Amino acid sequence: MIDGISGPVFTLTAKEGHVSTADGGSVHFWGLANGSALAQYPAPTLIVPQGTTLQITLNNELPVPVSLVFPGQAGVTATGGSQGAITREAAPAGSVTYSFTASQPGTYTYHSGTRPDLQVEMGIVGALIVRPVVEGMEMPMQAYAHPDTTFDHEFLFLLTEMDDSIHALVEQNRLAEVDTTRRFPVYWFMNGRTGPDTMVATNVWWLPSQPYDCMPMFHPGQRVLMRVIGGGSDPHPLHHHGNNSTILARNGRLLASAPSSGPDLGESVFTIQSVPGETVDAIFSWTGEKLGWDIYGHKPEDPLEPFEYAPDHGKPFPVTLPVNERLTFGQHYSGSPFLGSAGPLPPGQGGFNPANGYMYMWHSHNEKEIVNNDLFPGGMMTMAMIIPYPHTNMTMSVQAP
Amino acid sequence: MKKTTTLATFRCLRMLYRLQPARCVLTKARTTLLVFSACLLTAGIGLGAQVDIYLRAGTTTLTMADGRPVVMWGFAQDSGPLVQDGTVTVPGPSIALGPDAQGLVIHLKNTLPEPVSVVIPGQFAVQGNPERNPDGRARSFTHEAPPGGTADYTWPNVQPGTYVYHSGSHPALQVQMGLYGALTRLSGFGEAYPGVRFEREMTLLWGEVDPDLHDAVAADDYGPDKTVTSTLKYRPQYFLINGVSYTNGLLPTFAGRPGDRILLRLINVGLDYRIPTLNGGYFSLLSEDGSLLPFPRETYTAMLSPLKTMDALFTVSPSDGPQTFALYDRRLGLVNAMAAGAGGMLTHLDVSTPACPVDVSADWIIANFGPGPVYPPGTTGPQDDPDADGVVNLDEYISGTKPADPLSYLRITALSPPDPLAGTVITFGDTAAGRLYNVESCTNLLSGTWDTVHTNIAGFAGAMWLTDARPLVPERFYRIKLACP
Repeated sequence: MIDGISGPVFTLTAKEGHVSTADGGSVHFWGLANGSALAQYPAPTLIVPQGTTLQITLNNELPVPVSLVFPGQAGVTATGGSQGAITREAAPAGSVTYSFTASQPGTYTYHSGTRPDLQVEMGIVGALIVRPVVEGMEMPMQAYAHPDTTFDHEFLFLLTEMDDSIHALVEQNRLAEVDTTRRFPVYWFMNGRTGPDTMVATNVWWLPSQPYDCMPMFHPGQRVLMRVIGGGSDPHPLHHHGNNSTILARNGRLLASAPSSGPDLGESVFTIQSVPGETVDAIFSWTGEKLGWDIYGHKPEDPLEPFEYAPDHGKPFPVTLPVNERLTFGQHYSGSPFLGSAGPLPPGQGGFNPANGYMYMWHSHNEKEIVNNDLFPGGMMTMAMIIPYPHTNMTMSVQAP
Repeated sequence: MKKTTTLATFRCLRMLYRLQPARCVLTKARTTLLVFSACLLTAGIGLGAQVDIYLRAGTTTLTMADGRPVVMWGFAQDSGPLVQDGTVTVPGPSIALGPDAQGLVIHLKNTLPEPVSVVIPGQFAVQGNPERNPDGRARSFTHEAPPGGTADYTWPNVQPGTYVYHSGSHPALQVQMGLYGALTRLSGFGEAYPGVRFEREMTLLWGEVDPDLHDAVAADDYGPDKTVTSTLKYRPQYFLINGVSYTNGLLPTFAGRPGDRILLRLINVGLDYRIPTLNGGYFSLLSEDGSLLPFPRETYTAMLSPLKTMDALFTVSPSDGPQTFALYDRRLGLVNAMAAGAGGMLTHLDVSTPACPVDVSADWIIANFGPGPVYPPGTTGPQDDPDADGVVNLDEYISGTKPADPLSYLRITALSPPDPLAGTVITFGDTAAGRLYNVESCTNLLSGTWDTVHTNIAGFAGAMWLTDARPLVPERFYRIKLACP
């Protein structure tokens, strides 16, 4: 499940803090805190059921006015503060309250509506997830009201970028020298973390302002909902290895030919074009089908695994593996090429893959964005982990693809 | 034959006008419609036309929102080949073609120091050949108007939709210098594409300015062996919608009334991607590059590539009442260079139902009767009719006709069945952009019962015609009603 807070009465505090980058850097930022907590990057993910009336009070502890806009939400009322260029703003030490009813399910974003060229860069951007109300389901595993949008797991991919030189000027109180037209990002984030921190657990103590991870983990055949948000001001091509995904919706609206048709206009892609300010919902699923060999290393007489691609069952691995002495090892290698199996590894090798899963890099396909200030690998990069079903007590509910 | 019927048309119209003076109707309520004219069946109009546009490429200086003057290259629209009576603007003048205008000829006059040309992506041109530099490298996409010279460009069959015209010469430099403008063609009056109706339209060109580059061009310091040698390091600092950057206090633009289908014609004339984003609502994205999408898409953003056009329909439910919507660039071109406040590509759309005017404006008086300040008696009052065309100033003001031109007022100019089986064509004018027209008919003037034939058809400067497809019998009277506002 996606981490977040559910309100529906929210108190968000705009304040400064520091984000860690995986190259050892520390970047000053402006973020939103849940109440009196630390400012976080990205802003807290707001998760509410459809029909909820949200009340969001923004308290401003920054030295500049700040505000929030909620693209895709109609009838947002703002009270308090003073009128800004786009919405009402909280002055320094002031506050403003926004209220609206999240009438439609979907993935949305919210961000600063005051000097957004500076304040979104500084970190005031977050996700809003509105769950559909589905009769008979207390916690619907469905992105939208239509049954074609069911999922087994969901993950957030809020994509942003930062130019640390702007942040340095702001930290040094040299705001007048900031020129956002010269912006040149050098850090790229998924859910507020640079790779490989994206794969560290949520809420680890050493990333106090970056509570959210971004590491999809799922079983073969499961439907994985990707909620992708363009949070910065540059587009990002989010490339997911392993299989195509099917796009269900953009900006909280199903790609549908008719109101009740479901996502029948969804496209199959291997790179999700993430556009600033836009959201994309896509379903990803992986079974290893059509590889031409049995990913489990079965003998023909072995039983099928759940969701195994039956036509390749028992087909031999087409490669003779070199002996370990002639290999180098990644930390995610289990010692075996087969899903769910492990093998002997030299001392100190491997160890990041206790479930003997398969790993696929999911990353920006703008390859210069998978660095941390020029250090590869990092940036907008994470790994998706396909975890085999437990071999013990395996249920043989075989589904032909 | 035709002249006779036209005279009869006028006579009939005037009579009815006296019976129902617009003023009386006007004062009832802001939703009241103005009755302007009515007439009987007559014959014959001509359709199909080539439009000749005289563009002149020249320089102008725009003052950016922070006060910095920037020399731009732009187009002016002159009224003919021998005069220079237009003003150079950035963007260039919008070219709006009606449903009958298939052919477009742009007569280009070039007052700039380097050759200029005009291309329209997506439209078939009677093609010229690219021009080459002395070293053999191609310099343009088509034939050119040399400095001080002219060239003609012909597009024999412009398709309905939203397009951009821009310089096809040295385009890396000239497009960002400001040599661009919008071209639109309707598929029918009040109709952008077949089956896509609208009541209001807004054309929004999203452009950028790199002032340092423009300074170098203005100082003849751009080119080989000069300070700035190319546009490679293009870095815009100003972000403009229709040539205007946001500054605090910029007033919202009236977009339409709740319930109106507001057509947003979005055009990127910069060199970088822009993302027009609507705050507080959705629009329906319906076309790209003048081509309808198979299915419109509900969205609040439009990823607009350089020199791409997109059309979107935006409607506010009448039950939601009047609202103002911010429309901004989500690439965050929202600053005026290093100025502290909000700026850039931000505008506000006012969706409301303004009151029908009860008096003419001072600007309108100056535009039509000169700067004054003293005018002859009986000239500028709302109930004066200085051109004696039977339509008082206030009604001319509301209908967008010319108060000092006795031939300019709203009326039915012809009723004609070019094909008797296809019904009746009602031709009327002068119409004006931004107005909505209704066509009504009745079979008996004494009964006072009028049927609606067409509702809220968006005005198009000049003559408009609409068809009543019903059989010609029984004979009918027609009238045009102007919605106010």
